[in-house]
Amino acid sequence: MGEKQEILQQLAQAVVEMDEEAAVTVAEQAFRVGIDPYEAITDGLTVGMGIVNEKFENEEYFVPEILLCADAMYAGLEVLRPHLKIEAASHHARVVIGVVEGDTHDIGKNLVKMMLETAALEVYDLGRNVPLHDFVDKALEIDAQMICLSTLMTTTMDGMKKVVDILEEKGVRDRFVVMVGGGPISQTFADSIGADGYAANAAAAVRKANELIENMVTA
Amino acid sequence: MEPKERLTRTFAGKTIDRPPVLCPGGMMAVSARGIMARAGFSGRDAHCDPEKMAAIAERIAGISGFENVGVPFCMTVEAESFGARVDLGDIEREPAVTRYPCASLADFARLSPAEPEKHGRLPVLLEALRLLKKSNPHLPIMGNLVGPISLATSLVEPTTFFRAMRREAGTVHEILAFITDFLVRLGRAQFAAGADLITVADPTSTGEILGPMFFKEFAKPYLERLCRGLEQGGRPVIVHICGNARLIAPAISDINPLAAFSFDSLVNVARLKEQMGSLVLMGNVSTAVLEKGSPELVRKIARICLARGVEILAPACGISPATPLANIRALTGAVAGT
Repeated sequence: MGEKQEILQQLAQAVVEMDEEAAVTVAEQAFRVGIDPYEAITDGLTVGMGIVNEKFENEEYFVPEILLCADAMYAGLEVLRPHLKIEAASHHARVVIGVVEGDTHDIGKNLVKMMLETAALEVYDLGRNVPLHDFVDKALEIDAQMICLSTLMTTTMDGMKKVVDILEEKGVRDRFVVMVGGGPISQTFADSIGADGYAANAAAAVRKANELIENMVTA
Repeated sequence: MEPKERLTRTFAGKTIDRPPVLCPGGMMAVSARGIMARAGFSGRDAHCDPEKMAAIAERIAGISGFENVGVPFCMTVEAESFGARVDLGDIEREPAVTRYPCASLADFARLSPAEPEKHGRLPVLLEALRLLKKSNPHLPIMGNLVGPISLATSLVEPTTFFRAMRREAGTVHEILAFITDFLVRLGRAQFAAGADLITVADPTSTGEILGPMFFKEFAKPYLERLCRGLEQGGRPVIVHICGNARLIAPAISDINPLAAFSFDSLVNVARLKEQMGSLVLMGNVSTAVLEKGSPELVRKIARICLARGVEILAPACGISPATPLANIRALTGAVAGT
């Protein structure tokens, strides 16, 4: 195996093993030996996060592990990001995410946000208990491609429909894909409120987001 | 058979005329707006005035047909007594913690233990229980506690706490022991004030967040310590955990003493029954069906739950405000009606 391959693999491994220090050291090494930072991210750190995703879906990793893997990934990212060429960084899709009004549970949303960032999407986090109009205003302001709505409570699910309705009223529904998720949400519910996609967990959310955005670009 | 006797016999595994139907307080309070409006729920005073809290709890039971009274109507009294900032919400929104008193795990060392008769709305809760005890001789009175992990993650940002499970396990254990000992004192105070039984709701310890290994290390020992601490007096303790209980069922079946386990609608009852042995199961009528289904469908689902092995009929989790009264009555009527 070449030196480059070995370093990329070590980057992935640092993420999978939740090793923040190794992620920093190997990222510095990658830069020193002249590996393109973009490649180090996509073929190293992101590959690691992909493995973490699989482990999450296989019930090998749970929320504490995911958080620490993401910490390692961010640590590596912080080393590499300043060296990125502008073009490589600028064409990322923009996503607005938040927990709908009335709900303050944001663990799920934070996981999805992290996973989307690790998949190199630009994520604007509105936080929790977010007034419904704010989703639309922010998405218009930053010219986002995607709006992600989360809730853990059955009591606040209807707020998701209202966001879709606001987009319709303003005549901007076609400009965004809307993805919903959270404990009580299902594909059936997503269909019933006219959302574009549903994801059962953070790993599925990344796949779905990429798929939705790709379809949007090619449509 | 009177509701109290029926419930006592259910926990003891004795014969009963039909299954009981319960709705705990806490996050599972009957927060349907149709019922709350009729019961005179007017927002913050239901959370702050013991007379209103008790009166509303009684009216909810009368209107809904649930065979217990339960207080409080939120999961924030414990966190608030430690200094968390709480938004009391309104008829549409349940109270929620809006600011954690701890920025890091180290801050827990600065917390002094909350006192049940003194801090926040804990005295309101205890006084409401005393009033219920006086006015309500025939329905079981349900006290409520937030589980140790759910309380810890109401005092500090949850992700900070989850990370620490790997990085600072010792500190996490110390914090959970400190919190559990407070919950034991609060639970005993609830029993002393008149609670006939207590439901411990621990949504954040769900296996879907912690996984089976961390559930066993950080959730189970403290739920058990809590149940043991509340044991004196022989009054039953129910534990409710949200999400898919499949991964954590073995650890829960190990908790001793535990009167019943209450669980979410996505759990396969027949399979859980196998995993749980003789532990009484409570649940698990889907809150989505309760909100969106017809009364007919609610009755059908309730009967399916019972046929598969649920022994105490109850909603699977917190009820949506939009739940129609007819559907709640269909649920309670599925066993109590005719």
